[in-house]
Amino acid sequence: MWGDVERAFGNGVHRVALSVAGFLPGVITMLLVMAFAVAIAFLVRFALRRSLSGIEFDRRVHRWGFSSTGEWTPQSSPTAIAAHSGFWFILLVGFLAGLKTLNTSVTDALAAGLLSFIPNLLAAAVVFAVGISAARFFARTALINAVNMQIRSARLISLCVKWLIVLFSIALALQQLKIGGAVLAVAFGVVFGCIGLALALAIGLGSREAETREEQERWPEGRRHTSENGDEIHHM
Amino acid sequence: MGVSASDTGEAVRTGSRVREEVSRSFPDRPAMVLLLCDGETPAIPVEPPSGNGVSLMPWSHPGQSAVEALLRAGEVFDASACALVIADGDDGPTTKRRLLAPVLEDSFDLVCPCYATHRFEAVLTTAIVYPLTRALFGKRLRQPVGEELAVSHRFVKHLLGEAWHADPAHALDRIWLVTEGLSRGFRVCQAHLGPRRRQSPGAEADLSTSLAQVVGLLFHVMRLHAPAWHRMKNTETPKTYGEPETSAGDIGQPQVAPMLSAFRLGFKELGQIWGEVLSPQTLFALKRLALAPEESFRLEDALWARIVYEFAVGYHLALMDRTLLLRSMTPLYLGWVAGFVREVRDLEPDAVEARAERLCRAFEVGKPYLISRWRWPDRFNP
Repeated sequence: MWGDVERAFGNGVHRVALSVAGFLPGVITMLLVMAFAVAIAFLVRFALRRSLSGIEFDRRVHRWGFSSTGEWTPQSSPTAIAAHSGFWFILLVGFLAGLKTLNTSVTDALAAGLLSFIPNLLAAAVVFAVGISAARFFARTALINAVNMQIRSARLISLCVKWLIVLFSIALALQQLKIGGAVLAVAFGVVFGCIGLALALAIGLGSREAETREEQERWPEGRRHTSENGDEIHHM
Repeated sequence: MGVSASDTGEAVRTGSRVREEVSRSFPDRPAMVLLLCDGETPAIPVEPPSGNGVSLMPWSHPGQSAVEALLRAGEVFDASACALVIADGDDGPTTKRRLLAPVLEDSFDLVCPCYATHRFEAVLTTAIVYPLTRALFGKRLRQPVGEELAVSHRFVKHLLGEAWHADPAHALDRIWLVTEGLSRGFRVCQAHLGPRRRQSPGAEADLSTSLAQVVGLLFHVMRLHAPAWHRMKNTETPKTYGEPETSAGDIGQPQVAPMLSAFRLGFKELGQIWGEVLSPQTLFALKRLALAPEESFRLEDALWARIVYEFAVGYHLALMDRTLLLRSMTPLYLGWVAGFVREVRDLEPDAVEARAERLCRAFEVGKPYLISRWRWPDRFNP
């Protein structure tokens, strides 16, 4: 009986040893892949730092309208952030590639799923970045034009334009990430519908006021001796 | 000579008057008066040549500006001088011979017009265009952006050849053309042409658009001719033909309050954007100015020159989108205009001119600052 127990334990240990022996090359390969990925990540970070410094990336980002970058510390400057992002991205890809080398069904499925998600992640990041840049540009355009038209609520208009574009780009990015689904589309449909209604009301009321003003100007007694802003100056 | 007009009948009337004047003034020179029309050639009867062979004929220039059409025609006919005249709707004698005479008799290459303007006309020219071109290129051309002009054969060849190929996008725009003459050493003069037809304020394009166009082109030619204007040290008055006249009539008294309000709103809302272009000292001075009461409001000449120069550097370095940069100048310009109106509304024409002269001096005094910032912008960045 003791012999049977000993044999059963022996067989168990043998099976564990066999499976560890079968698993070990995968772990070693994964560690090698990770080590390689770390080396590549350091290289990428170094290359990004050098090349972005070379093209004065920080100053360009500042010129593109990210004025708050001036207050950032050197450790979190746009160049440093881009370099860190590159570093961690390579590490993530290396880790996923390493998981594949373990050759188990769970890790294979996990790695395949995460790797196939990377293009969507990149597309979402690009969409969001373009959206943020566009939002800043159009917000500035709206602000300057509204100020030139002497609209008192210029800042509010600019903020509305900015957040409208930011929200729109967030919606597009989430769609790329396949988050939200139909709920997101419906929510944005409702938001844009409301905005359309508000614009229609504003244009309608504005036109009525403009028509009244034009009507008054047709009559000689209502004609002003100065232009609307009191500006009798010929600038050109 | 080319006559440009929006109305065919007006073009024919002005063309006939110009033809008579040219026949009388230059009897022994062959000449041609072209009625420049954009698009299809209208049914204008081709008038027979006058006594000394000056003919009047329609000249279609689809897709070309009036200046380009005239210069191309001058090249085709190998003309020794070309002049562009804007139909003014008057029936009296013209003064257009003053445009041609400097080229034909004194070998000048470019003749700029000098109109008799009211103190509140061509304010953008008084505020920026005149002082800036004068300080940069050293010639005191009072109205560098006048619509009419005359050019020599030599200058036409340069404009349509080397200059055109160097910068085709802006070729033959008026400021581009004038600064091309000033920076390349061509002989430039000006001629008094009396008053010009006055447009109603409503007929002018939107102010910020006009400002962005004119000032944007000025800043562009600054980039184009930087080595030339860096070398210019002094200014001189070009030879001037004709006698200055005073502008008849009054165009009313502009209200200062709306312009001040535009300036204050601009400072409140655009201060952050200006901060990317203007130096801290300039911003601080503007902040104090925004708090000043209307009775004592005045944008000092030195401060205004500094603002214009800092915007020019900002445009050069593309510190932000260039069109937005230029458009954001509008409240600052209106602030300057408000101070100008307060100062000159009761002055005699000579005193108004003296006021413009003081502004030009401020631009000239500030030029070394511009050159320093242009050459070494990083030294001034915080």
